[in-house]
Amino acid sequence: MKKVLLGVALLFLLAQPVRAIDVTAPTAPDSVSDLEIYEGESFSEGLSKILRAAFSELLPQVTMALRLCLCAASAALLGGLLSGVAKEGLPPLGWAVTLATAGILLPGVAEIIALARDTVQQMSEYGRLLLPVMAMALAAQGGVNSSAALYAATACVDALLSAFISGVLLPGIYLYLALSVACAAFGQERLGALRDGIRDGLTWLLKTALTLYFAYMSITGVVTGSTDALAVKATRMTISGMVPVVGGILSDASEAVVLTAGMVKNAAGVYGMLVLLALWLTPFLRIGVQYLLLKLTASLCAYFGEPAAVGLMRDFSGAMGLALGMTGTVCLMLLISTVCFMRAVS
Amino acid sequence: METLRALLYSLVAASLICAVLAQLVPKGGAGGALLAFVMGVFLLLTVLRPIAQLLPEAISFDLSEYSALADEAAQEGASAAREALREGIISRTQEYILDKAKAYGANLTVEVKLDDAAVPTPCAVTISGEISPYAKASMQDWIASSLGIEKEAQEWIS
Repeated sequence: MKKVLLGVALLFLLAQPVRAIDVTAPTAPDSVSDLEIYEGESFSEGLSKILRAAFSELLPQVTMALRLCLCAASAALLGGLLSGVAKEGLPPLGWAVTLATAGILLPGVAEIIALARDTVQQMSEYGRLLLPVMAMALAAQGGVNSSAALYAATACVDALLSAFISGVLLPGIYLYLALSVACAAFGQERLGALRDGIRDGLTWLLKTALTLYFAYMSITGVVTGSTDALAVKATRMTISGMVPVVGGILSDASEAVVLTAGMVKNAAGVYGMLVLLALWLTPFLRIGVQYLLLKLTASLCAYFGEPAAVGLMRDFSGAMGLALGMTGTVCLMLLISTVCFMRAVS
Repeated sequence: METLRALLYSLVAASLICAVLAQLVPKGGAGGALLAFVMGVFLLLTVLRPIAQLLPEAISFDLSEYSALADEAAQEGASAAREALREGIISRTQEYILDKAKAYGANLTVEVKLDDAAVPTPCAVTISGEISPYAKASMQDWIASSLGIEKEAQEWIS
């Protein structure tokens, strides 16, 4: 009943001609345009479309991932068999198995890392188009201080994160893989310690960046929201002190502008979030499936496989975990930012 | 970021060199211990030198570009809202006057002008069309009292 009354009130207020706030979300990139997400669609409908499309592509990805894991498992098991029958202390055999396992896994992992990099790039580019739209809509709604603060923070963190991912994380993942291969081949713990340190350091940096960003956005939203709310209250008090007819006209007009801007902002926000999820979900599932299957393969091969090769499989799955973390961090950052814009009310 | 990447490359390259040397040199004895000591110092220097360069780079990060972008977007949104509000007030005021004119049986054209205050209000009106003198006088008084637009600011064109 409340919704019906609100709808009627909205219709009444919007019955007067109001120049539309010319703000629309940027259109979805070509890679997800076939999903036919449109502005004004409900979040649940759009999400169902995205999930259906993502899961329909899952089976071929699972097949590809299984193929890779089977090849790696074969190398590890064969290595284990040969190590058992060969003379003890035969380094070339260990090196050969390690290098064979690395040779099998590296092209697949490189493809996964490239997929993660492209996904992050697409999401960042779309985010850079979406943010100004959300900032304008929030400012049109009366949240001038909130929109400037939220936009500045998101733009800054996005730039830092992009620079970090392209300049440090991606090379870091390849260095991590190089150290893993060297550690498996030479069997030296110091290399293993450095490898683990790089992995843990990169993971910590991603997690800390996201935590700090979320904390900043939450605090900024409250502080600047209060400032904007006071400004709106001051305007309302000015209007209430006017001649009743003029006050009524001003009040109606400003309510219509605020409501229109709010509706436009929410529609753009929902559409933007759906596009971001569409860009992120399919690659995320593909990387996730590969990561889990490789980890499972390493666990199963631990019983019979060559230990160095099994350790290498775990390390390569760790690299995929970093790729997963990278895409998840950027997607979550942009979603949090969009939600903060949508929640900020003048 | 460049320095951080260079640090990672240097660290890994240094570690690989140390690993290869450790494989080649027999373990134990004075030679092995000396080599381990030299490798440790080499690794420390490899790590510490870029870090000293990294700290000033981290501190000098410039936020002004992002603040400028954010302010521009916010001002654009605020301008769009101001424009929409002015148009909404003008159209509502025009309709209000036209409704009143219809009650007197007059068919008029109305143009409303707003002032430049933060909360804009109607300050002048131009009314064109045929209307009886009695209706005109009543409307002039009504516009002055209801909308706060004094008779001097009302322009009537027959």
